[in-house]
Amino acid sequence: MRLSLNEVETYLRRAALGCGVPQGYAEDLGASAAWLCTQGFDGVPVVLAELEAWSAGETGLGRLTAAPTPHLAGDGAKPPAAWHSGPSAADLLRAGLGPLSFEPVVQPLLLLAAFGVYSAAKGPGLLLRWDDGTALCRNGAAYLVAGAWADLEAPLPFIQAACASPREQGRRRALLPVLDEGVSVDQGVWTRVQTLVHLSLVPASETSRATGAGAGLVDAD
Amino acid sequence: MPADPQLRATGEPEVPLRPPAQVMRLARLGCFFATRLSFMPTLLRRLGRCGARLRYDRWELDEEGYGTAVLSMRVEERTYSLVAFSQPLAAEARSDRVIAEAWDATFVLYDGVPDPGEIDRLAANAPRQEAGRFSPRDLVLSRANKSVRMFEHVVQRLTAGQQPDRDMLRAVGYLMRTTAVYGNGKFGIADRGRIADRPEFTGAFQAEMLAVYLIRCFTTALAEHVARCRAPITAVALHPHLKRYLGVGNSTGLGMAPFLVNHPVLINNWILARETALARVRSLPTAAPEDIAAFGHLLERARAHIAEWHVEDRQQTEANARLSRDLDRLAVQGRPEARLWDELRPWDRLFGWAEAELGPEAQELLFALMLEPHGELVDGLACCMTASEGGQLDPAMSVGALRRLLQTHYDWALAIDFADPEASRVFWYVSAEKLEPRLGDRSAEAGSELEMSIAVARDIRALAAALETGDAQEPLAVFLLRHPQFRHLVRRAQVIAQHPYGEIRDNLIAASMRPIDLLRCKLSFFGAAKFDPKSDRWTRIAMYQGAPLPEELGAPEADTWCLPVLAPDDATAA
Repeated sequence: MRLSLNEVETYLRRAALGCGVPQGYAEDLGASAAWLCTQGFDGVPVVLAELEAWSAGETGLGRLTAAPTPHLAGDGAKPPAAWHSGPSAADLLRAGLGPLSFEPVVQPLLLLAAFGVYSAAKGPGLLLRWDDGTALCRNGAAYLVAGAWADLEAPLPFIQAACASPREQGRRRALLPVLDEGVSVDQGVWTRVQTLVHLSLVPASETSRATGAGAGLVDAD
Repeated sequence: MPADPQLRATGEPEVPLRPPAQVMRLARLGCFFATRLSFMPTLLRRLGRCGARLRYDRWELDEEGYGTAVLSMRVEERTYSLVAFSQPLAAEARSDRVIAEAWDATFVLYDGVPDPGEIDRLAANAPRQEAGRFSPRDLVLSRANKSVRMFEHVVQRLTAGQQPDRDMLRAVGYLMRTTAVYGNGKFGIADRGRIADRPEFTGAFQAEMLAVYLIRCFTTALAEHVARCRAPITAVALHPHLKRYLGVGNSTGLGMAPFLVNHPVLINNWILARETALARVRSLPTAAPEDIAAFGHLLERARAHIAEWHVEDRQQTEANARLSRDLDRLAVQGRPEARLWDELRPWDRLFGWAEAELGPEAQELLFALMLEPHGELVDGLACCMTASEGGQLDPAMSVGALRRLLQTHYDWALAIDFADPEASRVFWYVSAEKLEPRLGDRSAEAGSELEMSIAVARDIRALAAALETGDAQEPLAVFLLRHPQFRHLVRRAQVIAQHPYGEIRDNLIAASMRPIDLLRCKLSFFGAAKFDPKSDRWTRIAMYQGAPLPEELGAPEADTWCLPVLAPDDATAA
């Protein structure tokens, strides 16, 4: 099926809320999903996998350790959730607290997405480095400096992040015309997203129906 | 106070803007009236400027008025089409509720002129509304039900060669009521980003407003069509004066309310443009005689309009009675021969007098009236009423700086006593039924654990308390790692510091909160009139009532159509 970008952002935000992700990070995750789709990544399944892992208790909140350099670690038992590590890393870099390293996350693409979202405003470009690759996000666009985009589709053993120098360059990732064509999403994936969305909804009651717009009137007037 | 660059470019007015603490209160927002900066008049001015003309590309309706119609309009360099599907509807299925599943008519505003294949696609989906799927060529999705009593009356009169009864026209004011107008990507239709850079859609909700304007054209054409089918020889068309008086109705409920909370930058820009317009008029050193005359004429029309505005709601009835009395006083104070017109800044003096002497409804109506003769001064502000982004978090700000920011911009919230259960009596949630926002009683209804983030005042207090325990020098980037639940509030507070008209300065979960105030605020920006509250949670309104007909767009007299009145001595008397 084909979705609008707004549907992707709205429903993934609601799915995140349904999974107990705090509001601000749910907003970031919705924006990340939409950003991934505009960049031609298969954003919806990536976010869905992240949320399902979080719901299953397979990931935890990251925490900052300082020695020897700033490091975003998990809670000791679980890898850190990318929905938390990505925006948190972008925050730390933009606050001048980088460079920093990460404990591996299940969905490294979400780190890139958070950098994409948070590099849209004025400020430095944000770099993501892994074993044999480097990506740059600047002004909301993604650039590959080294390696392959596909590297980010599986957990990586080593990731570092830093602010980019103005001289940093790379090959810009081509945008998908999602505004003209919509976002293609597998029906089964979308059904699973809807299942998470429903966790954020309150069933209607007779009371709620009795007070809504149009209630209590004969509409044939 | 920071202003949009486009506002700065035109120069700051000498009379200061009304401060957010005065404007952004529910009791004030709930008194707003449409102004010439509202989105409907803004659209019609543009349509007039670009010479837009209506065309009926397809009119395949049977004698009962059921079938398919395509109304197109060329606007600037593009053509837009309203694809309308009219169908029989059983009486028991006719409901204005958002949970309805069938309607008298359903509509899509299409980007271009649809070919038969596209019309077939829309025919399979538009009547299903939320259950259908749409494409980026589809810009707006809507539906409407007839006001059966009014529609049938008009058809019967036209069939008999007569015009409709004016008292009935006044009492209802439209032939159909829309129950939803969806844009921006809902159900697969075009994202706002796809059309945002088109000149015709500069400004807010312009595609949606175009759809509703074309729906209005469809409703009167539909009534005339059915009358002609019933009596091909004797039927007459609606007199243009009566046709102009007919708008489009709408039923609106809680679904609209959270929008004002969830888009602080956009709301700031709407209010800032509006307040800037008022300040510009108040800053005028003198009043031109023709503007005084125009104001006087409008004031008389407003008094007649208010006299025609009948509602059942007790509170609105009382407000209207006070408004009528206030307008009587305003008519004396602002009479053409009054001395104030010879004094420096007469508009400022008049508004200052109103602030001291009149109720908030009259002040806000005066606001709208003062803007009307000053289109050249204020109309350009309409292009500032958009927002390209929601604002980003500043992670380098320190905990101490955010504490100070809250004390400055959220003093009103920090003063609320949330130990009182009435202060947090209600909660907002999204209903599983069509994903509609609803309001629950925390003490009596389940679901408060899934509360929407609307309780800004309460949650800001919690943030302030957490900040008090933190290191004042610590960057928020670090604070948020320990307190992820506050991320959206930190971002919000920082955004509001730059966009102070973006926050409603009232407790939105208090037992005394009236959602209808939120609805009226937003609907006034659309250009709605004749607010007819049916409870404190939903209202009926009229849109485009009195607006120029398509063939009148661009005419000088078409510029000022607010506050319509159906004259009792009109030559079209039935």
